Amino acid sequence: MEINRRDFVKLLGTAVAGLAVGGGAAAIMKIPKSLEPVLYSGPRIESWKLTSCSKCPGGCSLRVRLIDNFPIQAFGNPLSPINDGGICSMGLTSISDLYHPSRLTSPLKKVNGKFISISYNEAYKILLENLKNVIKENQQDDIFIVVQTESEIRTDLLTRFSNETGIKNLIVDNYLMNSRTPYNNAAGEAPDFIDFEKCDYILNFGAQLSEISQSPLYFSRTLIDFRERGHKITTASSKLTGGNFKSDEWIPIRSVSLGDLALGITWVLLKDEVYDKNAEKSVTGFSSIKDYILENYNPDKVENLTGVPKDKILETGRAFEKAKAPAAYFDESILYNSSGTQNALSIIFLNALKGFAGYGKVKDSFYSSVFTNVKSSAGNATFNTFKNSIASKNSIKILMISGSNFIFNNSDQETLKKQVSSIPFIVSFSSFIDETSTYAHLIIPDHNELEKLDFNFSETIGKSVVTVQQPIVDPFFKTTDTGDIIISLMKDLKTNSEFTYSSVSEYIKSIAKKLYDNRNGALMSQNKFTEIEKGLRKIGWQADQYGSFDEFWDSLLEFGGWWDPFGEKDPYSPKINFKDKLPYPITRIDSMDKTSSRNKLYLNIFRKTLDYKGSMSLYPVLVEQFGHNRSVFYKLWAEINPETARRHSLSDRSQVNIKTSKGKFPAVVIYNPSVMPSTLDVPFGLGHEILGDKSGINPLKFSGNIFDTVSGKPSFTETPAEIESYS
Amino acid sequence: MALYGMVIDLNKCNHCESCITACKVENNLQIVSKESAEMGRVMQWMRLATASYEGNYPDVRPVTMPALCLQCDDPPCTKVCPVRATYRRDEDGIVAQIYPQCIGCRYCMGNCPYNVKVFNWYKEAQPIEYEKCYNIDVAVRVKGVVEKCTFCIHRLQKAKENAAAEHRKVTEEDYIPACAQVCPAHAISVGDLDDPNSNVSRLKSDYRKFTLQEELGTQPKVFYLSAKSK
Amino acid sequence: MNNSQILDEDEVLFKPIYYSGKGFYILGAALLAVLLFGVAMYLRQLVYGLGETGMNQPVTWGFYIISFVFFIGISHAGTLISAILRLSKAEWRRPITRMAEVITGIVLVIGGIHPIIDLGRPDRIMHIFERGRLQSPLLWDLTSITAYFTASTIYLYLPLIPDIALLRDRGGRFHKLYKILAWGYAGTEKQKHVLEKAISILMVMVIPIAISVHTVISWIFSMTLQPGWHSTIFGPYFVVGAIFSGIAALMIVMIVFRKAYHFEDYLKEIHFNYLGTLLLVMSLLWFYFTFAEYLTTFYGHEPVEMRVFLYKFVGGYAPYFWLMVVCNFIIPLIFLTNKKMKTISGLLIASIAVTIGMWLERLIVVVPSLANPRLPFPTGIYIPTLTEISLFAAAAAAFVLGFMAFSKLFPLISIWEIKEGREESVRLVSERLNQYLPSKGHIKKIV
Repeated sequence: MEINRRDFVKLLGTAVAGLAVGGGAAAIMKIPKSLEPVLYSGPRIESWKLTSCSKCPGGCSLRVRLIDNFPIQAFGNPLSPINDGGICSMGLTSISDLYHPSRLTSPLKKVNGKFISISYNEAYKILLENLKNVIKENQQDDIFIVVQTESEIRTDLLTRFSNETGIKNLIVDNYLMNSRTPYNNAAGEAPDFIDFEKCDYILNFGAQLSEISQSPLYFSRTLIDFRERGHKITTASSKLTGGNFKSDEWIPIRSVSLGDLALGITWVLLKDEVYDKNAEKSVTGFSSIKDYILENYNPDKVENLTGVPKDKILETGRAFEKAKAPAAYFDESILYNSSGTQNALSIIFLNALKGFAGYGKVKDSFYSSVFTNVKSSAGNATFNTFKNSIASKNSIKILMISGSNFIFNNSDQETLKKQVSSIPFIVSFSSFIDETSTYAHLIIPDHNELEKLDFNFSETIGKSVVTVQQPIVDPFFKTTDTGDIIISLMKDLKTNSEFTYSSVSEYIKSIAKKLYDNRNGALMSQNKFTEIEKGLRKIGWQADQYGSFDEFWDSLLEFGGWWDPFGEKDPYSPKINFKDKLPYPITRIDSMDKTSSRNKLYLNIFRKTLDYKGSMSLYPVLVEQFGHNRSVFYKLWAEINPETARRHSLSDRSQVNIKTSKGKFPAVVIYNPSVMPSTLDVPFGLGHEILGDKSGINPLKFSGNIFDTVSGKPSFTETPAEIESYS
Repeated sequence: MALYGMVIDLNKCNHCESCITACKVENNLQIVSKESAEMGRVMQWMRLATASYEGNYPDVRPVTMPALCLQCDDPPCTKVCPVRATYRRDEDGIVAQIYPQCIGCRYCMGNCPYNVKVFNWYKEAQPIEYEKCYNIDVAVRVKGVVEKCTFCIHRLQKAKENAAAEHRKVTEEDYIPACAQVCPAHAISVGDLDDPNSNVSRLKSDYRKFTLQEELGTQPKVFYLSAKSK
Repeated sequence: MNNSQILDEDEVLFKPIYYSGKGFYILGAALLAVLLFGVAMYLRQLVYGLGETGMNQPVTWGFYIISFVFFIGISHAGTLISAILRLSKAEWRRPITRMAEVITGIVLVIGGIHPIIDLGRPDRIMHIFERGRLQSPLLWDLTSITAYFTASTIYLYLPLIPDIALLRDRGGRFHKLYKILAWGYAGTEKQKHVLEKAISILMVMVIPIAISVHTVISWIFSMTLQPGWHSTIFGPYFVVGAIFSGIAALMIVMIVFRKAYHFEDYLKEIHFNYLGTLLLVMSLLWFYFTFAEYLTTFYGHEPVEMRVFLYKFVGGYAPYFWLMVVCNFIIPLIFLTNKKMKTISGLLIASIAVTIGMWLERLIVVVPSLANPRLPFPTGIYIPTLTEISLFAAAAAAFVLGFMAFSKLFPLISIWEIKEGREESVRLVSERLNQYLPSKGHIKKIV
């Protein structure tokens, strides 16, 4: 029993006790001193403000409830076309990191291994000096920027910054960029959305559509509607996770073989000659690819490679053929195995055979009109480039990190840590000291999400949507918006900067001006339209007219967003050139074990609902809830097929040690009949060492050094494992 | 005289667990320590319970459903309470808890066939950032009392007060519990079962309806809709 | 009247009141330490909360309720045995009744406190009295235990009065206390008559109250819907079990005090013989009820009930279950049917086994049904903590201490009844026998 447990019985009996915590507590709670009197005796006035959540690329609109101007709860905005009033667990609890006791309150500099607090001016000077020194020597190739934020504007600013200073190694490691990179490489552009009006069959390769996607809440809603209309969803993945329970069919297959399956299905289409003949022209080298596939990927061979019965391959192929507008879907989760990028290319080819009919692009996309230059000159560096660079003798001189905790999210952490600590100058813009920013020499913490001004652009629903993230509270501490730092750097490092705005809010207002000039869209004041309104809008009538831009801006902040409800779509028909990366999956590292060998076990790391960065350790509610469905709390568990378990003499809920080449770790065995026979499914997300809740174990620490050779993402599904001892 | 019930459409639910987080955050539930969690004292008024798995590999699907207090019309828990700390309200059919009256004998917990009642074994120090975000409409319970889902009755009370101030009746838009409000798939509906026009009355007559352990005669008011077997 | 030279023929019965050996003090100190430790653990539980125990969800009742049922069960021996034996005019009851009644008195207090220890908010105990719901089995329980406690205390006190009078007449320690408590009893015919009348009324009243107590306690469980609890047989089952454990406890007490205070002359082999036979009968009855209960469950094969059944028979609680059967049935059978084994030490072993077995039976009743909920919940695991174990030890220590304290104030064997027995029993019994037997020498004349 802990000695430091405080007895709150006296204090917590009152209804207002939530805010009036006993004396001295406000000193631990991260609130500026000036706001403390309100905390104790404030008038307790309730108010509501709208903002947008930025924990995932969805861009849902939130209504935040404030008491005495302290945000305490968040709910979904019923007028938002993306989330339609719903909100996910991350959004519900993410308000609490505004008050987190570990939140950094000022810029920090590392002196003799410890962080000391410095002023912003001093921090900025240090950063500028370091950058200037390296750029003066024309060594921009030794500067790396790793950014994993979902904010399009921050990413845009960093891209402009890299363009202007000549830094080529910008790694944009966020969900959308990773999901689109295979398309960008093969076709120059990626599809914007799945066109649910046309699409009638989804063949899902490993994605967790309603859990980790462009917009989990949107897909939660629309997939129900999709199935109610009688269309089917087939999922091929290594684990049947919560979001995929509703698939009509699940094809268990190891992630590394997804490309083989795609090619097997392609074989069926090519053999039956039922494919969109336009593909012969739009895919460079079509005939040689076709011959190769027909020769090497017949169902028998694919069955040997993947373990999927050939009847199933034929059945799925025929279903794909029959569908008028199928979509073979993948997202960044396909990159988490050794042939991820190659697998993605195979799936692109499969889509091309049906003309990408299930996909669409937004016509007159607002996002494209603002960020036309972003995609073309976005950094081509990948995480692989970064790792190779620091592994080789050519040292990196400066590393800038924004929103990425890559030491936690990757395997081979020991090597990574050693290499990162040899970089002479690391600057991080994180708000907390986590596993990665602990190596930084300079930390300039960013504002909290509720203190920032930002725009979230989303085209998942098939229309341009801009959700406004506005400051709900004034910044509590001496934090600085990262965008402002980048803009200042641009001004100081390049004399004739093309970027003429002096701050992020000016830049955003300029984008809002474009919205004001755009006569097509409407503010998020309405979600459903009557037929009359639809007709009127089509001919250009707008209900909300604004006299001036300022009026428009105020209304924009009041309604929380803008969208184009009657926007049209274009088909997605790119020209595909695989160049030298032909869509044939490369030799696997353990190519002998593609099918499930009866006695071998593999560690299959899966990502749980909404937690794709493993960043939920900050939120105590989410950590507690992590394993509640399995009744396992604060511990790592391993799901195993009951037959496999019996063969290894393991009983349900027993404690075991799982041994890999990197060591061994304890876990609780949970029986789950839907697990593949030769895998041990272990969840990712626990095991933080520095920030937040430290319970559980990070399975990536014990994952083998297997990576996707192109993107550098760690493989989640190929580490051999043994059950060593039963404790 | 309203009779509030709930319908959860399991064919829409995709196990995102938003409802569980929402309930926790809305009602200021305690986060217990790791030792307590290991002993099985985690406090959740609503949980996502996997009942079983059906089908043969690879067509296995878990039978999972959000489990919460079913607000029985013949509640076993109220029958055995020695001090009337839990009782069924006639005016809206909600089984309520009176925290200051409960003496903590835990008899009601032993009699609930659904195990939805939760006890405050300790009063643990809460993470400060979580405490800051407490909902001020809901009392934080002291140690030693039993608690359970109340269909967010504080929201109903607010709605009734607002409706009374505006001289009208409570309508469906006024009152919605937290779990129903946040569900992204709109799978949870709460409403007046006595009102034939409400959503829940309509959904209750769906052929896919089933409820849990009706053979015990507790007359639960939470119904599940599922086109597959139970 | 100074009496240090005049020795009574039953002096040995008075001796414990005046003389305490070293063993007494050592044992008393040790038990007091255990008791105080238990009290300290309880205070700690008051400060921190019920989380100090091992209870959790779904096992919400543990050691405290088990001890509660166990101790109240032991109470049955006392008053019930003494009342039944008195009612049936069994003469061999004379040395036994006092100890039996004392057991009841002490154990009811200990048992009655346990539900309060188990409460999450003991500071709100008055709610039960102010706003209690009579529809709740806990209220019936409260009522019947209070009634039983009142009745048995009076039933302890009334036959104690003549002994207190004897003590008062001897003078010495606590003279004033005895004078007050004796209520002016002087052994006159009228007083004797009133006393006998009162005792005989009480002994009839006490029996239904006693039976109701344990029936009502069993109804706390059987009125719920839990599998394994919702059984109609619980009432009689618990009463039988209570009498069973009570007799065993009584025997242990008798054997121990016989040795410690040299009561061999009063507690003869024959008493133990009879009690042993009673114990055997209760053991067989207990086995019959248990067998009937589980056979019905098994034959019906309802899935929810079978889950609890298998948990008890072959699952996590199998060791306790089978140990209970051994302790409650096999060991008594061995020791009590065999003439050679039926010695005093044999009886002691059998009684200890039965006490342990009956405690295990309470464990088997309370925990497995809670640990196997109907709906999908992982099976509950209950591991008692130091707080619970120490409170159980403290309760046992309090029991022994209570007895030891009583033995220092009042005689453990009812002296006046022994004297009465010596003087009057033979006459009374032969009178009674004459009533049963046919009269001598009535030969009808055949005409």
